[in-house]
Amino acid sequence: MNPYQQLPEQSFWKTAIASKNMFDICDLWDPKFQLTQQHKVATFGSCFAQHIGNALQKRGFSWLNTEPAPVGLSQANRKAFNYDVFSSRTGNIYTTSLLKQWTEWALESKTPPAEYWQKNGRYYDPFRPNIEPDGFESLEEMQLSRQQAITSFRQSIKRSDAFVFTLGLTESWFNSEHGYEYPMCPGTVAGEFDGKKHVFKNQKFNDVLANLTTAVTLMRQANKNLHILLTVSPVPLTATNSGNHVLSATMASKSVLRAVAGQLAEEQTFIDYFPSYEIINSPPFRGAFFESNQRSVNEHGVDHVMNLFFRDLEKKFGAYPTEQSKKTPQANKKSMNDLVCEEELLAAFGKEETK
Amino acid sequence: MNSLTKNSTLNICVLGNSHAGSLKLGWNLIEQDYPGIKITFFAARACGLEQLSVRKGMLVPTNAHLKKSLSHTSGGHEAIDLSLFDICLIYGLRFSFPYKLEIGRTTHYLSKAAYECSIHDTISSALSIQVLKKVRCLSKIPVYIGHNPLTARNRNSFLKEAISYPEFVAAVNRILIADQAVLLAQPEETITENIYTKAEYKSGAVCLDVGDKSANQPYASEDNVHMNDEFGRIYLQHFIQQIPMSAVRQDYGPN
Repeated sequence: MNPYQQLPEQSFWKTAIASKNMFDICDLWDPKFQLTQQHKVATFGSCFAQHIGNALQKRGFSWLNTEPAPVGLSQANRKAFNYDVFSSRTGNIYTTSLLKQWTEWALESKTPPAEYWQKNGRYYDPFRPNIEPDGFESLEEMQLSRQQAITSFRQSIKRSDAFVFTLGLTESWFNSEHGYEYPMCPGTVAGEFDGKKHVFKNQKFNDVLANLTTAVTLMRQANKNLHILLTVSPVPLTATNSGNHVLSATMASKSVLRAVAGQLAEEQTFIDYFPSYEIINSPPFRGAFFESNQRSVNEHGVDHVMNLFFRDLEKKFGAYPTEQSKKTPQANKKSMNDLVCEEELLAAFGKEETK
Repeated sequence: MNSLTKNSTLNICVLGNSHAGSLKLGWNLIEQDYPGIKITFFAARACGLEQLSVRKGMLVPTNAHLKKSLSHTSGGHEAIDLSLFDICLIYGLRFSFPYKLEIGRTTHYLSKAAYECSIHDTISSALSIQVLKKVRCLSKIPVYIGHNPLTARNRNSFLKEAISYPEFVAAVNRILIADQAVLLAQPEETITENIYTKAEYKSGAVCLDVGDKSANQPYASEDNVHMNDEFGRIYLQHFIQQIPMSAVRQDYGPN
């Protein structure tokens, strides 16, 4: 008898995948810790993290919002002003180094850089360039708004039971003089690109792992009971500056991110990894969960991922009451078009499609 | 008293709902002091004016009930011909001070743009703004917006740290510029604790007279939003003082 003969069905491609309808593929995740509707869950990271926050609200979970929109602001303007997108208004945190940067600002009282950008008389935050649709009225307003986001981010860490982080990119842009990182290449949304000052870095496995480890360590020092749930965004790169083809650059980036997330989840009991990336991208799903641009994840894909997420939680920890899920109509109203993905803006700076 | 002379004439129309009742009763108290001013009220309870339609250069009721209310409150006009008026005051009509905005304003820093969008989104659904849009389809006369009276202060009022009332008025006025309208601030002497109407002005408030059996019936004692004739008197005096002389027709009589 060899070890494979004792393995369950799910260990074999034929029984777990090939002989099943793709929608019946299940048991992809064995959650390490329970999430109940009473647990406060913060969500940050790449665009795809927004789906998790929305899905949690739909199902009556306690999605933590530490920087809520002012009452009265319409759904359209909430989106425009990046309210209710992540647990606070950090904008997309694409890389683990950006997560570390935000965490240090929030928990180590590190002062954010003084840099600001101006365009048409308005002020833009280099670290949240798309946070306000038309920038800020003054430098002071920009700084106060960022300080609010930092304060709220700190509350997200301290007050949440689970911190969900979606890893999105390895490609990043840094200020070579001072060492800090921008979420977007300067000169795209705002700012002015300076080849001497703005340097590209495609982060390697060790960089990504070290930054995430530092960020998680700081968070756990601030909240010793915090659980971390990692996911990798299945959304391909809009553009790459690596010099490689965007397809191979995407696979390289995602592979690094997936490996880092997996390693940390293996090493730490309080860190788990949920395979949304695999569910959307794996061959058995035949690309069915992508829109026609083969990049954006469609609504069915998101629903399928999140259904599996909750199914696996229920399978392990028991069913959740469903009544509360009817009480969050606002979350239900959000469509795929409501997602805020700054990275997509890069496409606007690319070459036009050949007709 | 403003600077209107005995030779000047001013035709004002007031478009409103139940809140216009206090203005009408207040006007009855002071009408004789303003011989050069004629105010015509066009009112219907609740959201009745929602059924006004722009037709043939006028605002026309689209149902019999509204037609009756307009006719009764205006003294015989079954439609609103804005060309007869120099000034329009749109009063009440679900345009309320957004007390709830305090949540976003005080616990989290908010950019000015986000704050103004909140106010815009809050008020843009108000019937008074819909009526303003219809008025602007037909006329360029000066239009003033009067919001619902601030809630009357009572012993159960829970004074929270609210957004500033003057700041709210200023923000709304920045928004109303697009439609060339002006939001009137509630007269200061009627306000207490920055965001409430003094309780004395709700005393004796009665229902708008639209010619039915509820006309002039007192509101329930718990009603904190409808005001009395004295409030209406002060409001209109305050309003008249703000009217620009450019809107006043100088009538020098026959040659």
